[in-house]
Order: sequence, then structure tokens, then C-alpha cells
Amino acid sequence: MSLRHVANLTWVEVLRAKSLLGRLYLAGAAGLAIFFVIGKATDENILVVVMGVTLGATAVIPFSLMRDKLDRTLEFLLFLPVTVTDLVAARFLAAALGLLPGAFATGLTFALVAPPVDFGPLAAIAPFQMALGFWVLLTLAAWCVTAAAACELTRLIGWSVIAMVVFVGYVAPWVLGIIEREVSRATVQSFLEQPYAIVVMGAIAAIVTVALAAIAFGITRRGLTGYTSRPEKPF
Amino acid sequence: MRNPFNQRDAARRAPITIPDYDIELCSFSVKYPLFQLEPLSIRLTAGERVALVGPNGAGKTTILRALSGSLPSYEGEVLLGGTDTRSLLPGLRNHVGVMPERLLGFGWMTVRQHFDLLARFYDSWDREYESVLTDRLEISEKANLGTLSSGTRAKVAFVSAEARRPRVLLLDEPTAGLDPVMRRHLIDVVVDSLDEDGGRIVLFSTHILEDVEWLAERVLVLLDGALVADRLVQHMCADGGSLTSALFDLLDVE
Repeated sequence: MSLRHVANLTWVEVLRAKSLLGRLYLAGAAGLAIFFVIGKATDENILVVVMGVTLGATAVIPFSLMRDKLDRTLEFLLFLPVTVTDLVAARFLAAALGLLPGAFATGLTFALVAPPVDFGPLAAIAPFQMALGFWVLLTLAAWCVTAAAACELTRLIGWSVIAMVVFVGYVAPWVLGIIEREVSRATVQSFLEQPYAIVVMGAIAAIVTVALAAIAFGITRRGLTGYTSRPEKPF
Repeated sequence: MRNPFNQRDAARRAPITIPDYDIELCSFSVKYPLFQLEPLSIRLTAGERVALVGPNGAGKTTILRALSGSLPSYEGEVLLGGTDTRSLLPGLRNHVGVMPERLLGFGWMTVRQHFDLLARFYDSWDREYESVLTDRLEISEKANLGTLSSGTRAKVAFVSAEARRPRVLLLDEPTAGLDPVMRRHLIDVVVDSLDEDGGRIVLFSTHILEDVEWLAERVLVLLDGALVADRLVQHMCADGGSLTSALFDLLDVE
């Protein structure tokens, strides 16, 4: 991997995404202004606008990859003297950078307004950490959607989709059910009060983040390596 | 022996001196669901100007894509200076210039931004030479790529491939869709650029047989995924006949 090429490619990605992201963030600002003007700037409305805009920003980089395929600009990028790893790293970096303003606006909003839902013990998490966590979560989501966009949809419809449906539909609710039954709110509260809680939670979050990021990176890399703009494919 | 394609070397951005290389396709073949390129072996020596001629779907672009390192999989070997091109990627692209049949780039970028972008990636990009080419081809650098006419697109695609003086220049139907005057103008610029440095290889695909006369000294004829002829232009016209009729004979066109 060449850092020079990654920096140049990231610059290209940011340049491309900036107008779309700019419009998105401007639309959010306009939405907030309208709420203030009509006197409906409630905490819920402000949070919905800020988080909605940030969620929208998650789709910008995956969307640009899909456009690259349609416009054949992906072919142009693949003609450059760069590795596919450089291309993927730049795209992931650009996705993370593009989400920074929205994620931190969300953190700031959390600090300024009363959350409309009860976060329970999690409410103790400081707004900055909340913003950081939100940014990591959205960045991971953007990377996962980028990985899906890098692959051909026909290839995605297969074991990976079945695995995802099984996980989201069965495994995740089953695990959450066990946690809800076995772990009481008081236990969570007392765990969070322990000095090592932040280390344990940080470690779990880091492991999950790194694992998901690595999987998304690998899938995106594989998708781009096998990409050809021409319909004919070797057997 | 020092490998001139080594990317780490290239990254140092030192002036690169690349010796002239031969390129070779050894038992090269590709299988598509509806088309098969029969195993073929071709050797192009430094300084040669070679035309790939044949009907649509004969395999011309596939060969160019293989030489540019952008064909994901194939049988056989593609060698540059005796080394498999797959092992030379991505540094190979510093030395192989490709002019695709359609200009590739971001439509919202101006021509100037497009060249600046390419200059960031290619170590051997020559700003002065780029300026000479754009002046000669009368390209407006302020226009957006997405708004260019087909003639200007072809010119920009040529400068994009040529401004770094690649040792191997691959042109995929460079004059397709151009009027005769613009076609001649572009071919003249190509010929002049190559005359400056005689050691470079040019391989171009075309349907326009006049281009073959103007630019090529050797012709490879492909038909239904097979190489049916590999001739020198001067031999094809040796008996006083025209190159067009000789090619039509090879393609079995009544």
C-alpha cells in the first residue's frame, strides 16, 4: 500500500463527496432553521434532523461506488498505477472523514438537549464518547454498505444474505433475549460503575469494530479485484 | 537485476530510465460464455507500430486489456521484458499507456483538473509535454470532461495516455467517430510523438483501414477469436495491390 496514493485517492473521494455532503448538511441546517421559525424546535425534532442528516451521510460513499460502476469511473480508477488496497483504504478513509461533522453534531446535540428516550445506565456516557461511538458505528455501517456495493448483487444473493437473515432474524434476538432475562438493569448499572468497565467495553467495541472493518475491507477488495465493466466474464 | 517496475522505486519519484522492452503473449487465451479467444502467441519488439484489425467481437479489446493489466483472468502468459505482467502490477501502468475507446474520467472535472489528477499518480507525467500536446491538439482545458465533443474526448484520452511517454502505448479504436480531418490530425500527432522516441511499442485496434496505412508497419488480423494473419504492411502491398483489398481478402469479405 502506498500512502501517497491513498492520500491522493482520499482527496479525490472527499472532492467528489463534498458537494453531496455539503448539500445534505445544508438541508439539515435548513430543516433546523424551519423548526425554529415555526416554533417547533423541540428536543426530539432537533435530534431527528441532526441524526437523520448524519444517517443520510452514511450512504454517500457507497453511493459514489455504485455511480462509479455506472459511469465507468471505477474502470478509470482501476487503470491508475495504484493497488486495489489503496482504492479501498482511500474510500474507507473518506467515508470516516465525511461522517465526522454529522457524528460530532449529534454528540453536541445530545449534550444540549434532553434525550427523548430513556437510555438507562447508558445515559451516563458523556456526549463526546456518545459522539465518538456514533461516529464509529456509522463509519462501520458505511464500510459494510460499501462492501455490498463493491460486490455484484447476484453474488451477494446467496449464502451471505441467508447468513445475514439468520443472524438478524434469529441469532441476534435470541442473544438479546438471554441478556435481557439474565442481566438485570441493576447489574448493568453496577458493572458500569466499576473502574474496569470502560476498559472492558472499550475492548469489546474495539474487537467488534476491527473484525467488522476487516471483513468489510476484505469484501470490498475482493469485489473490486474481480470487477470488470464489460459484460463478458471468463467461465 | 534491478526491476524498473518496482513500485517502491517509483514512489521515490526519482527520474526513471526505462529500457526498451518487447512484449509477448504466450499461448494467451480467454473463455467467455459466448466467445472464446483461441490460444495465440505474439511478440511485439521495441519500436514496432502494430495494428489489430478484425470485426467486432474478434478479441481486439481483450488483447489490449490483457496488455494493460486490466483483464482479471486469462490463460497463458503476457510478458513485458520477459516478466509476467501480473507480477508487475500496479507499477506496470506507469509504463503502459492506454487510450480506451471511450474517455475515462470524472465528468465534473475540467480537462485541467483531469490532467492534474493523473499527474499526481504517474511519476513520469511530463507537464511540458502535456502542454505541447494540448496546444497542438487545441484542447480547451477549462471545459468539463462530461461536456466534451467526441473529437475532443479522443484528444484528451490520447494526452492522458501519452503525456507520461509510456514505453508501450495501447490505443483502442483511437479515431472511431472522428471526422476525416480530425482523424488525420490525431494520427499525425501520434506519429510525431512516436517519431521522437523510436523505441516505443504502439499497438492499436481499428476498423478504419486508412489508419492502418497511416500508422502501422505490421498488422495482426483477428477473426472469430483467432489470429488469422500477422503481416508486415509493406509485404501486404508488395504485389501492387491496396492494403484494403489485401485485408479484405484475409477477412474473407466479398
